[in-house]
Formats: sequence, structure tokens, C-alpha cells
Amino acid sequence: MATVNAPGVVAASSDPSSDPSLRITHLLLSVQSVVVVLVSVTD
Amino acid sequence: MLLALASLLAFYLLQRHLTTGAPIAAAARWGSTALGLAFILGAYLIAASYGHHETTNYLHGRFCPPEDTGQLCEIIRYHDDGFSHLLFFAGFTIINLVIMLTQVRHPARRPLTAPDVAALAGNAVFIAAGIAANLAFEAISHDLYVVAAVAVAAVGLLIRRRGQPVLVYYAVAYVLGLTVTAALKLAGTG
Repeated sequence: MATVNAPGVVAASSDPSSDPSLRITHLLLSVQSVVVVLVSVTD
Repeated sequence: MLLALASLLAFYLLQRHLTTGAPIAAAARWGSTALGLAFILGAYLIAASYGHHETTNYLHGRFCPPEDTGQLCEIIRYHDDGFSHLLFFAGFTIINLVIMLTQVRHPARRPLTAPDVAALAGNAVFIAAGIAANLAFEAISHDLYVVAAVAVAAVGLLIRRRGQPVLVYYAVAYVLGLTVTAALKLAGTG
């Protein structure tokens, strides 16, 4: 049987997808690596 | 200055991204506000340090040769080589602590896989190399204490919250950076 949420009601989430995505974390840390390399090269 | 801006924006996005995870049950409501305020303070100090340094560094190089020991040049030298650096170190420390504490407040629920650890360590090696390049070949000053403080904080938090990606990254980067620096200093190359 389908469950229908009333409009505006957000179910309490235990969904693992609410965890931060490691892929984005890796990407943002890679930006820091690029910055460090550029600072070292241009310094 | 553009690179500093890029770094700061990446830190901001990282902090925002980490907060998309659910906070720990014991998280205080004011914690998020406190971390946000601290991030703004750190960004302010870093921006102030760069603005301060750019101006006084120009005046230092343009009007204050080493033989000029007048009071005005001494003031400019202090602000170029001293005060602007202290502002930067304060902002840098605060930003990095905010990132780590945000990870503690919003822990990753999924265990790290071996490729995850490898990717984190790979990025950390770049930071470690930057730390060693800055510390090992120059006279040690406040920057050593700042790096050591971040390393101690990272390791301490990692012991309490094992397997958190950002904490693994910081611990590897700063401990490795300090270790390589010590090795180069002991080898007499620094």
C-alpha cells in the first residue's frame, strides 16, 4: 500500500543519503591541493 | 590574493557540505551558530592579514632598504613581517578548527573504504609538502606552533571520532608535514 505524506510534512530521515557525500569532500580537498601547488609555484 | 580567496571559498563550501549530514544527538543548538560565527571571524582575520601585508610589504620593499633603521621603517617592517603574519595565523587556525569541529558535529555515517582513505591521503600529501616547504627551509617562527596546534587538534579529535574523513585528512597532512620538516631539519638541509 502506498504511503502518502501530507503536503509540507517531512518524514524523519534515517536515510543514509543524508550523510555528506565523500565525493564532494574529495573534490573540495582537491581544490585545496591545487591552491597549495599554485602558491608554491608562484611564491 | 586570488589563491587565498579560492582556498577560503573552498573551505566555505566544505563547511556547508559537511553540515548537510545529520548532527550528532548531543549537538547543542547554538553549536551551528557558533561555528558559523567563528568561520566569519577566521575569514575576516585572513582577509585583514592579506590587505595589511600587501600594503606594508610594498612600502617595505619600496621605501625601506635594510640600512634604513628609522622609526617609520621599523614600524612598516613590523607590520609587514610580524603583525600581518599573526593575523593570518589566527585566521588560519580558526578556519581549520571550524572545519574539523564541523566534521565532529556532523559525522559521516558510512565507514571509509580503502579508496576513500587513499584519496584523502593523496590530498593530504600536497598539504604536507606545502607545510614542509614552508617550514623546513626557513627560520622557524610562529608558523611551527600553528601547524603543531592544528596537528594536535586533528589527532586528538580523530582519536575521539575515528574514521571521520576530514579528521583523517588533517591528521595525515599535518603530522606528515611536521615529520618531513623534522627529518629535513635533522638532515641539515633546512
